[in-house]
Amino acid sequence: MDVAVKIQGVLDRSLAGCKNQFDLTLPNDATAGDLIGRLAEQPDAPLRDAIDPGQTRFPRHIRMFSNGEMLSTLGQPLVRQDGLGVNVNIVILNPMMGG
Amino acid sequence: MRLGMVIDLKRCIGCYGCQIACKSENGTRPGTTYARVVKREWGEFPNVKKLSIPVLCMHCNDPPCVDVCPTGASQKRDEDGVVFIDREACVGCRACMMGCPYGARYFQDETRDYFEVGENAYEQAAYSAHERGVVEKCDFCRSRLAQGEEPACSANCMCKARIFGDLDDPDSEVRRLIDEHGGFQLNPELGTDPSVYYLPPER
Amino acid sequence: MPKHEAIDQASQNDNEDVWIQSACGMCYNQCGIRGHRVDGTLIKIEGNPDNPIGRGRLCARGLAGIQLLYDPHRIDYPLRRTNPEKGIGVDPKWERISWDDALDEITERLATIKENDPRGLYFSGTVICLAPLSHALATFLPAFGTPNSFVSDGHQCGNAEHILARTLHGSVTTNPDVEHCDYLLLFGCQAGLGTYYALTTMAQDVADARDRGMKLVVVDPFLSSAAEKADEWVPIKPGSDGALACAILNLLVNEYRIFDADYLLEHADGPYLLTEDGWYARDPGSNRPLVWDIDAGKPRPFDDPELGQVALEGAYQVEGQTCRTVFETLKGTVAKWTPEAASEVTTIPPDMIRKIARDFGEAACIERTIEIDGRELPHRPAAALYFKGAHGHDNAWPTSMAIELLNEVVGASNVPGGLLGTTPVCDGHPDTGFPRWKPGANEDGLLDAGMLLYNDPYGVVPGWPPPPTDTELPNLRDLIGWPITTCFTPAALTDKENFSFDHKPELLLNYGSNLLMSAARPEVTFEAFKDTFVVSFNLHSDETAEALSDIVLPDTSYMERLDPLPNFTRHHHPVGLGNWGHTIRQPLVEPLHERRHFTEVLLELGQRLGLTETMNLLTNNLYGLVAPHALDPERTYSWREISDQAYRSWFGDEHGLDWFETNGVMRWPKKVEEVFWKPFVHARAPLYNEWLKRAGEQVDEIVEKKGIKGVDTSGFFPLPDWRPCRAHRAREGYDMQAIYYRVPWHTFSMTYENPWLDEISRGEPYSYFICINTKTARAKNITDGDPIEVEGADGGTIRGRARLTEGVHPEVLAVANNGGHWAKGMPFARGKGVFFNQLLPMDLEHSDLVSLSMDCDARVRVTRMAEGA
Repeated sequence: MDVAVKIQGVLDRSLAGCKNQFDLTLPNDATAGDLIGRLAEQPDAPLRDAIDPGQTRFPRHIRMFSNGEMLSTLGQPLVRQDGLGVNVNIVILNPMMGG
Repeated sequence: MRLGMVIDLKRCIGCYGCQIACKSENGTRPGTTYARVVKREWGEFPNVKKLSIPVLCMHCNDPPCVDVCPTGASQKRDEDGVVFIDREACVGCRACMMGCPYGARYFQDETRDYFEVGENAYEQAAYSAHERGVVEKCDFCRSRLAQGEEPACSANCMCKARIFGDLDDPDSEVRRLIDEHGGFQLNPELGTDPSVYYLPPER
Repeated sequence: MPKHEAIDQASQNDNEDVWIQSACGMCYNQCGIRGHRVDGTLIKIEGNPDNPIGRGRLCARGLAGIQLLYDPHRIDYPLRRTNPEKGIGVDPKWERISWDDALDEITERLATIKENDPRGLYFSGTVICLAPLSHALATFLPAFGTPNSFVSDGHQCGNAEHILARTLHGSVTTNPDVEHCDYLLLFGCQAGLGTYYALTTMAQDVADARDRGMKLVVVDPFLSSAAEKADEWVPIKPGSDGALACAILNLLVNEYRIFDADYLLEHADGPYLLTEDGWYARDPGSNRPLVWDIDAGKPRPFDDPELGQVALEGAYQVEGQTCRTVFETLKGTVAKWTPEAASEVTTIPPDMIRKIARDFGEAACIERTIEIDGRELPHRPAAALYFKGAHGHDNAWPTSMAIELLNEVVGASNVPGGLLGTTPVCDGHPDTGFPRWKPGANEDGLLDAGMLLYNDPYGVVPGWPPPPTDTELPNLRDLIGWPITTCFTPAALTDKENFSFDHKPELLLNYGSNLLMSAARPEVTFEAFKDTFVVSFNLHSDETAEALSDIVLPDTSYMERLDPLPNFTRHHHPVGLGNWGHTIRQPLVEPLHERRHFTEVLLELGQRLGLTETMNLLTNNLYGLVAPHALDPERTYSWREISDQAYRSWFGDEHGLDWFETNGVMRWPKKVEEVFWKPFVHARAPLYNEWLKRAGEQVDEIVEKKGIKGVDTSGFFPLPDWRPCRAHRAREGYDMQAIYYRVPWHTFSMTYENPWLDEISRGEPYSYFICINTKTARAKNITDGDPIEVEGADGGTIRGRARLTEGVHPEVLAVANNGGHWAKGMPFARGKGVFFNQLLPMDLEHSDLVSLSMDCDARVRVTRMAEGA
């Protein structure tokens, strides 16, 4: 399925020229963790080092919304069984609000 | 029926909630505080005690303020003992203020405003009930009593340190508290027989 | 403002007589109120008997709100500074502008900042307005992309206490279960006796408890409102409460041997083994912390299903190291705090210390149980509570630990009679199951809070605390991320020796905070922001607005705005049995003049800046909104619509905004397992803060790499100890300590403008004076009423009139709250009371780094001034 990703919030300024919009193609049963993993492979995505291997919960300062609904674990599918595209918003919070 | 109040000096924390509950209910002007708090301190460091003593009109059983009033404006109600002032009849002679040993009466002889620009919306609404040139005092919130509610000060006290009720009713809370805890009047030697009793702070 | 304008606006409704349910906003407790409006004018505020927060009764401040609503000195229109000079005490020469002009300029500046570097936006706000403040912190600021927020009351707040409330109680803060308590020990705190959380409800409950016979012991340098009611006032040298608590701990665990062994074994990390280096000894395979299995004669993971009897005390050989249990280590750490040693620094006689320890320990009645609602629960009718007075020092962290552990060692934690977290467990409304949260346990078996200030749904937020990462932020939250708030930002911005940042504050958005007055010495804050464009929302033209603001926007008071969930941050909700309560805050009158609700302005700014999509998503996150009530990121909502969705999401479609406007309060009974959750949730309270030891090493690494000298982690104790705060020791010529205390009728500096509250202070003997011990004064030739000058050894001079009293420690000067206003826009408050904070520096040296809080007392000397000086 097609996944349109928008990343907003407190972006990492040290990544000069980082992008905050991505159009990706992922399997229909892709999870939140899969998406983050794919983004981490992008050289200009501000989510590098965001996830440790084996981590099941979201990093404390990241919120992910799939078609407006918040995802709570990395293992949660990005949904859309009908195979239509998914709009994903990722918001990076400021440290004071990161939980 | 004899309406009275018990003030529990053990429960009271001296927060002045009663002073503001009264002020906002009755809309009194600067300097007029029907309900106020006296603070006392005694002892020598480190063995020191402080006490907050809320005071108000004592609604005495033998009120000198009623005796001295030349016009009959100062009255005590037969049905419940509330002492009040009929504003229409008061001429502002202030003999009652001299007669009251508890300093419970107030008189606004000149314009006093909280804000230098004059009265705000609340004050314009509230002060309309008060004329200048007459004596005023606590009347146990007569208008609330008429609705079956207790005075604003006791209704609000956040320590429940003010209990209001019928002193003549043997089953009332006020009667029980006075009898069980040795409730006392302030300065009973003055002989006015107040309807406000205090419970000892240490018991 | 012409006198009659308010009447004209207000009297739009004739023949009206209504009572409106809402929430107070005169302090952070958000108690339930009802406003009586007649013919458009608010004529009375009373408590709301339907609301468990207050149960129909209010403090003096809540009742005095009317005079805030109709204060003629309120800001009614947007203002712009025309005097290009900024400065403390400088006249800004305000000119009135339109909202459109104001928002156009603000939008343009913010758009530029967002384009160049969104970190140029700084934000500060007042905790009194917690709901709108939270909305800004949680939605607008992250959507904009700036991490630079700082809550200006941070140093005044319970920074260290909040950390431990989280680790030990799973909540933001604590309150004792006085309903079942027989002995309440207060350190610099006035719970239910003057101030603190849930005051209006606690006042009733504490009075009932004392009536029933609960003993009250108050440790305080000043005979405060709380000390006035104490069975025992224990005067103490400020900043030494930690030493007293360590001595009590020592007596309990070493000499009297009064401690709850079962509790420490099962509900704390008491038995966890520590290596000689001070780390948990861990199982090599599972990495689980190890305990000593006495039956097996070897160490085993704490959750091993085959565990036999576990050792609480002692030292054992593990992999060639001598490993003591956490409890054994605690015993060793506090052993040096004999009553005599503590007496030396606190000036409390050793026998008194022994008495308090024995009374507290015996009152805890270890092994007692009580039946409540058919459940048999541990009953520990003793509680030790502390707050600002005890830990408002640069030894905040160890002080707080020492006092908290008094409750832990006797098992008086989240059980009847003891210290309770402020609502760490909620199962939600019976119909919907929302809002809900509950603590869990992390991989080490230690308590993991289910929520803190905000309801992060479904436990999204993973293990805490966040590790130190860098020093890029002036609020130091990337380095020290575990305190809730900090006001450290001005200090970091002006400390050129230790910090340098690659961005600077271009625009400061200030929601109502008078940070110039409240965050230590005004010069520091002024220096930090003198070149910044400052936009503030204000009730009055206060000191900060006059010195710094470029644009001032007229804020609605709490009586003029809608906040759907003013209680949603929870921590001021009463503890103990009773009801949950969620109230609406709705306007008692429509906003007068051109005042606008901060949240509505933020929504408009968000629209102008293209942030609505992200703000909607984050709003869903903040309130835990779920389908079908989650906001659609593609849509624009009004604040009323958002409020309506929040209510429906939490309480069902039948309980939307219109229900709350009519019915006011949603109430349902608490369950025993929510109130006294410890026996029902298996998660251990860490007596030992291993996480902090690790964080300290990480901080050391970072500051070494960056060459920062002033950051000192020597205070990162994992266990309680005591060392003096900066103001503790006498210095040549400076023989006194100055402190400030709270009175029940004032909140921060805001209430000095209220004429009814001022009338109280003028009739009360102490609060407008500087209190000094009678003997001390006489020795200095100071008589009652004399003008005196107090000079700080670390700078600053304050002046006031002396009030001689026996009710203050001989080495201490005591000043009430934040008086001493000088702003022209607060003419009522000007010159009343004493401005204490001039004595307080704001820098690393005077801070507790662990909690990012400051030493709030000062080393001073005092002299009599000539009359007329």
